[in-house]
Amino acid sequence: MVRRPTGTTETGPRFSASSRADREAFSVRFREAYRTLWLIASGIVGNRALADDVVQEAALIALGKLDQFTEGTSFKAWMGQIVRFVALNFARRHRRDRHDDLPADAQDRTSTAGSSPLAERKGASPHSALQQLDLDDELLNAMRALSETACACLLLRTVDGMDYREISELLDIPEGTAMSHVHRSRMFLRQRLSAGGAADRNMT
Amino acid sequence: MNEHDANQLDLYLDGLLDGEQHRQFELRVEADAELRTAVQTQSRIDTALRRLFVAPTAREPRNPESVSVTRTGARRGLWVAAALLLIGCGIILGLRSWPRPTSVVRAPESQRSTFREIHQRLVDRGYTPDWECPPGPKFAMYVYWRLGQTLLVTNTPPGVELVGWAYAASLSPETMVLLTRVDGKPVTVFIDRAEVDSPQYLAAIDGRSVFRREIHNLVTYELSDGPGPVILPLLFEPSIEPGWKDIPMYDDSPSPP
Repeated sequence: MVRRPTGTTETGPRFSASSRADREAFSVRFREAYRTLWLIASGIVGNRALADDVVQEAALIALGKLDQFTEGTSFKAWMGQIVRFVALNFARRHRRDRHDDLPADAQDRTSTAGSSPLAERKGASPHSALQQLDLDDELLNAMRALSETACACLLLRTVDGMDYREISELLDIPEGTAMSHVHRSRMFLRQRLSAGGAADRNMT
Repeated sequence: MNEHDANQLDLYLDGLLDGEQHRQFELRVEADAELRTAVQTQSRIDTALRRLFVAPTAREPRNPESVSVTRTGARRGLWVAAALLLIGCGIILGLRSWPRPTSVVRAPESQRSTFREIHQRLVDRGYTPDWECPPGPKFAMYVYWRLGQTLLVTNTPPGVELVGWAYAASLSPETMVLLTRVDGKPVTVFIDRAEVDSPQYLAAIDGRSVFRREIHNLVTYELSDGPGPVILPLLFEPSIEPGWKDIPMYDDSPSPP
C-alpha cells in the first residue's frame, strides 16, 4: 500500500481517522462491503465463525490507514486487500482443519429423526433435513481441500454473485485465474459429492 | 464429464452463453443423463453454499483511537477495560431511558439523509398522506399484501395521531411510509422487509434521530426529534383472523398504488 505524501492534491474528500465524519463514512462503506469481505475471509481462513473476527481486525487496520485510501477508487477492493492480508496471516498462524465449523445440529446426528434439532428446520421433514445436513457436511469437508484463493473465488462467484472482473480486482489476481479457480473448484466439488453420494441421496 | 462439457456448464451457470448456445445446452442436458446429473448436483451445491455462507450482521468497526493499534499488553488492557466500562454504562442508561421492547438502534448516516429527504418532502407538502386507513384489519392486511407480514398499531396514547400512508422508494421500491404526529409534531415511520435493510448504526443530525426496530420479518424506522421512539413500540404483528384475507383493499377511500 503506497503512502501518499501530505499536501497531494486530490479531488473529493479524503478519509482521516481523526475526523468523526470520516469515521462514520468509513463505517457506512464498511457495512456495505461487509458481506463480500466476510466471504473473502471465510474462504481464506476456512472457518465461518472466525471470519468476522478477521474482518473486524482488518477494519481496525484500515481505520488506521484511512489517509492511504484514494477517493474515487474501489473501497471494497482496498478493504479486500487488507482482509486478504489479515486472513492469510491468520490462516498460516492457525494452520488447522478448514471448514471444521459444522452447524451445531450436525453434532447431534445420532438423535432419532423427529426428536433432534434436525426436525426443527423450518418447513423440512426430519428425513429431508437429514439429507440436507449430509450434503452440508460433505460439502464443507470437501471445501477443505480447496486452496484459500480458490475457495474465496468460488464463494464470491456463487454466494455474492460477483463477476470475474470484480473478483480479480478484489483478490488482485488475473481474471482468467479467477475463472479457472471457480471452474476447477466446481468440478472438484461435483466429483467429491457425487463420489460421496450425498448429492445423490439429496436428489431422491 | 469431458472438459468441453465442464466448460460449457460453467458458462451456462455464469449466464455467459448467448441465446442459441443456451438453448442448445439445455437440449443437451435433457438428452444427456450424465450432463443432467452434473447440472443438478451443481445446483444443489450452489444452493448449499448460499445457505451455509450467510454473513452475520455487520458489527460497527472498532475505533482505533479507543483501542491501541500497537497493542502493548498493559495499554491494551486499560483501553479494553475503559471501553467495557463505557459500554456497560451505555447499556444501563439505555435500559433506563425508555420502556421495552429492546433492539432499537439508530440508523446510519446514509439512510438518515434518505429518510430525512422523504420526511422533509412530506412536511413541505403539508404532511398529508396518499392514503388514509385507520388501524384495524384493513391496516394490517395492507401491510401484509405489500410486505408479506401483518402489522398493526396498538391503542395510541394521548398525543399520538396516525395520519396515514405515503409511498417512497427508500430501502426498496416497496418501502411503506406511515405518517404520524406526536404532540402535534410530524413523526415519520418507514417500514419494509428486513431482508432489504441496509446495515445500521448510531447517528443523529440536527437533533433528529432515526430509531430502528425489527418486528419478525419487517424492519421499521422512526424519524423523530424526541429522545426515543414513540411509534415503534406501538407496532406489533397480529395474527390473520378469519375473513381478513377477503377484505378489499380498494373502496371509496383514495386507493393505494
